[in-house]
Amino acid sequence: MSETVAVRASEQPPSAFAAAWHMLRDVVVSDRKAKIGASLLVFLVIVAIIGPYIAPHDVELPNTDIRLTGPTLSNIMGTDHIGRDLFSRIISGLTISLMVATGAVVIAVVIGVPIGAFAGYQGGWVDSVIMRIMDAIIAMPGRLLAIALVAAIGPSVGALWFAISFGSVPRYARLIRGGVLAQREREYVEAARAIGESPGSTLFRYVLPNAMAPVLVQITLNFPSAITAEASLSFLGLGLVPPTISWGQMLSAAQPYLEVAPWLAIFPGLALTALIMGFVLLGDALRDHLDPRSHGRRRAKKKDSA
Amino acid sequence: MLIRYSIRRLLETIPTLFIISVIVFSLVLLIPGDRVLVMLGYSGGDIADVISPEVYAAMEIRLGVHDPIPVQYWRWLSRALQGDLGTSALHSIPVIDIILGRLPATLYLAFASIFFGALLAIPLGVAAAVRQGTWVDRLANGIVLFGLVTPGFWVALMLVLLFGVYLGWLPTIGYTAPQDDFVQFVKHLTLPTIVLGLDFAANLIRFIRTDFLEQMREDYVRTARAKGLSERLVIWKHIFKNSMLATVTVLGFDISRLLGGSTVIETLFAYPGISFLLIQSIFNRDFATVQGVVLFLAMIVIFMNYLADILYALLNPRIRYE
Amino acid sequence: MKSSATWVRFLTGAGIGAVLLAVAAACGAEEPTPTAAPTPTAEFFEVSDSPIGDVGVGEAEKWEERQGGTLIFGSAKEVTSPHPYTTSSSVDGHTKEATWLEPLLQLTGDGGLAPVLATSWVANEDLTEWTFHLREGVLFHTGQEMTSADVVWSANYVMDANNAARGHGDMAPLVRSVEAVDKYTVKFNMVGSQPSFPIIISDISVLSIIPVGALEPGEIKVSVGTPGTGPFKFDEWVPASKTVVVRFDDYWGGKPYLEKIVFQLIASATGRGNALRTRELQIAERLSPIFAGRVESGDIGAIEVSAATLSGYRRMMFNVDSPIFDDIDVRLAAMYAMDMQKLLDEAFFGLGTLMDAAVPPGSVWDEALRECCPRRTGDPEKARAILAASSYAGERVRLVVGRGQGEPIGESISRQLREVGFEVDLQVLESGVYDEKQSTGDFDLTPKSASWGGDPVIDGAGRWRCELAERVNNNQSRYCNPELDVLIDNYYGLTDLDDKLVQYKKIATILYDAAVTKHMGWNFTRFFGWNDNVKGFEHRGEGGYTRGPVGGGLWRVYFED
Repeated sequence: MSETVAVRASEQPPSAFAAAWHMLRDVVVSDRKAKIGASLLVFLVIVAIIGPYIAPHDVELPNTDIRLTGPTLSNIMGTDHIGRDLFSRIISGLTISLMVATGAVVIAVVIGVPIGAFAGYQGGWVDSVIMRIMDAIIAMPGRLLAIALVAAIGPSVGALWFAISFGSVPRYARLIRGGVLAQREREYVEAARAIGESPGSTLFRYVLPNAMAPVLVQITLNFPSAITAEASLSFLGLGLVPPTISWGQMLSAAQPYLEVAPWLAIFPGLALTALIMGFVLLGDALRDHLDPRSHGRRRAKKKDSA
Repeated sequence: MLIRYSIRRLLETIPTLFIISVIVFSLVLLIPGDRVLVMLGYSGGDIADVISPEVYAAMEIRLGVHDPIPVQYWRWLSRALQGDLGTSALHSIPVIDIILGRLPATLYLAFASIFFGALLAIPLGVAAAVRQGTWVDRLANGIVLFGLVTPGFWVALMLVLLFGVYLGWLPTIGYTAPQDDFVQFVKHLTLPTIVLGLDFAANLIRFIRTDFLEQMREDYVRTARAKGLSERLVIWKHIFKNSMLATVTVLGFDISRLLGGSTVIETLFAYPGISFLLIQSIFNRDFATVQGVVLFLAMIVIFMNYLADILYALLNPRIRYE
Repeated sequence: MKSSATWVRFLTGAGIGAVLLAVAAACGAEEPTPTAAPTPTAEFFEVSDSPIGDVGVGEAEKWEERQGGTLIFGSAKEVTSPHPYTTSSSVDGHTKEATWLEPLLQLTGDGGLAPVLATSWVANEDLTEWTFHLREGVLFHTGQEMTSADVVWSANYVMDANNAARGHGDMAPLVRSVEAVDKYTVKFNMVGSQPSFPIIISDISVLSIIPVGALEPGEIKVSVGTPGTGPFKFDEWVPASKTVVVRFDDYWGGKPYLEKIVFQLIASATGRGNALRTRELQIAERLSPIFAGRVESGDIGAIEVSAATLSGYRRMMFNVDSPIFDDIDVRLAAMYAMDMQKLLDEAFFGLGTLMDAAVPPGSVWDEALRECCPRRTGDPEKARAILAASSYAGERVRLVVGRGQGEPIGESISRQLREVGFEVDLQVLESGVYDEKQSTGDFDLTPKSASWGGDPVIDGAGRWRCELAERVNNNQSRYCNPELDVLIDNYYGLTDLDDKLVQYKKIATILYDAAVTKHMGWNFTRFFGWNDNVKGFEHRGEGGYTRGPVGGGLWRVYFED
């Protein structure tokens, strides 16, 4: 499949999004892991959207008469310390988790891609300065940075978006810069330049589309870390506050009742794992597809089994 | 050649460090809170505290909170360069002393996790590559997937539930210094090590497996095989040696990841390392300590990356010193 | 001594402390004590003359049998500095007071005062001078004897603004000068009449006695504790981790049994409970109600628990300066929106008693308010009606709570407010920032806990004085009413309980009508737990683990084989 991408690249690719879409489609059709991952994600996204309508109980209303009861027919995942239905809360948490992660990834892409493109295109000292700043951000332990940022801005969805995306901006910038540098000297780019296309238009029409495939892989691999980051921050008490429901916060609140109500810790964790797994499976398949090294590995595998 | 390369790389870290110092300093300025009150030690909520205006004013002057920000930055940076990271507002002792006091706990945990992770990952990664498609490969794949999809702090909670609560075998929080009680030290270290080590192993297994497979297709391996060397000799003498060189570099990069990624784990296990210190300092609005810890950790990361780079150049004859 | 200890346990454990306290406060007048001056204070601060450090007969051989061992105590908060005068939390204070530092006198569980380093104290007729007679033969950990010079030096150190002592704000405005009358007598010359001065300096965070020159001027950073006079000597302090003390053999009250005590910081209640079960800890404070319940029910064995019912209460404070709650109707709407029984159920497992004003429910003070101030119970319908007619236009109410125990309060209150139509911005903050927001007025509504000092005005309603509304650490609501100030000032001059009741009713009525605060509940419970081989541990009613009124604390703790 990477051959097809390469062939298209040497012609004139239609658009960045189309290229990414083709790749995604090809991979999902051909790879079993990707298929599982994608179906899991589609399912979870649907649940997140229709969640408020299918949740059996009010997510906020306590009922102290049934606090800390285990799974029953009415509360299939049990209840928490003030008698709220865990299942309904987990569904609600899914929406928040997806929303925070998606926002963080989108922001990182929207900031990182132009920065990388600009640096790569400009070259020279501009490039050096920008990339040094990116190095500095990468050198700072990502989670620590997010923690310090949320502490600085205060907990809100916007703060989480910013804090979580901040550390991953350099990854996109680096990817795109590399892509731009590689594409810049290609014949068709030279040609476009020769016929008088503006640098911006060249960038958008020829350079970016070819650099988008690794970005797509990076995006799918960025999701699990963004989801984990949000859950971790909320777990530490630096994330969202009630009435917003976060899985991390639910896990943190479960700690005092671990022994008497283990379901409070088990179910939110399983939900978190399922969501991350969807992205990991899909992202892995995409990477295998793109990375010639692991691609070769698959071929070798086939040879062995043949 | 190598010396020149290492010097150049060293010089390259200077602007990075400078930018980091600016980020760290501004971050802490952003954190809301009254540093004068923090320095005076406001109450934990129970004692109705009355700090008199005179005391407050005296401390304001002492801390220089009204100086222009660049002046404050320069004062902080020039002291930091001399190894003085300021004084903890909460504990009234030098930040560097607190950090150094916490460093052993964090280092023990980092090295134990790396050791445990490597112990798990090296044999599994190699076996998975050599015996592709067998149960070993599938086990390795399983561990990799597990490490990638399960959030560490959830695994930690589940381990606490199992070993701490149900079985009662291991302590679920705290730390004992090895010189005080070695058995307790090991017991306290076990659960956090498993959590961090598993996560670490997942990445390492994947790396080793891929690297091994790649090398098995390299020309020198084909040549060695063609020369009639036994498969075992090829694997251990050539591939393994080469692969371990690469692994060592990965280890270098991963130490930094471990230092930063262990915040939640240290907090969950109330393990008094540097990351836990950071969280406590943020909660307590101990500004100097927050600045100090973040700067200190970032410097370790940069140094580790630098070392890994040099090590890689030293070990790998193929590097081009670009 | 034994019977007293039993009494303390009864008082603290039985949960009727509130009633007893009220009775004790009311009856104090009948038993004037020989040591205190015939002043108004004697009525409320009963002075006991039994020396705390009285070691009974046969104690010597028991000592041989019991002595030894290291006790690890699980603390909920850390000792942020071993400095004697920068106490940052009650736990910090308890730790110091239970071990190496001592005040001149201390508050007993019933609101009276008991001698510690001072054996008696007396005021002149107009309460402008307080004279303390010191215990003779008290040795510092350095081996030198404590004299009046040390007390004068310690007090002056606290009162110097440059030393940033916590007690500065409490002492400096009240004290004009301190002088040594003779080797064992110290006189404090007050600024005006100061009836409650002994109570103020009974707080360890205000004044403990250390040797002359133990601290340099302006020395606010120490990593080694100063010498003190307590039963244990300071040994080691590891920031954010532990504080270690060792036995002081020359303690004036008699040798303690334990060789060493380690105060280990374990911030989570669950963590402390687990560590107690695995015997990593021998005593732990502030255990979760669920843990205590499981010990009681026999689910968890080999551990004993005891409840300290805090003689105190929590309340929700409105910031009357905020654009939302400057309208009394909006405050009333919020009051009727809050159902405090629901709150107690959700946030405190049903522990605590509903209350109306800042006095123990059922006490004489409470009875006095029966007619004037009917309880505003939760009534969502009424709340909605008042809110609709008020100036409220959907602004977001900044509900500021502290991390930990504040979270469930915040969750419950914010939900109840939203149910009647308020928009709420819940802010969960670390204790330091939480305090700061309260003191700078950066909030609309906030929970606040307070302790009961035995009198509803001196340590209660007195906090609503206008001057304290400016010094915002005391009156978070910023409510100021000059009429109320006059009533409070007049109250301080009263001696007769009936007069006080009448005056208090007037004060309480004004506060009630102003609707500036809604009380959540009285007597919150803190659970202590210890391994069953730990003997002799006593804690105070308010959750401290220092020596109780007579005996107890950690000083008399030993391990039974």
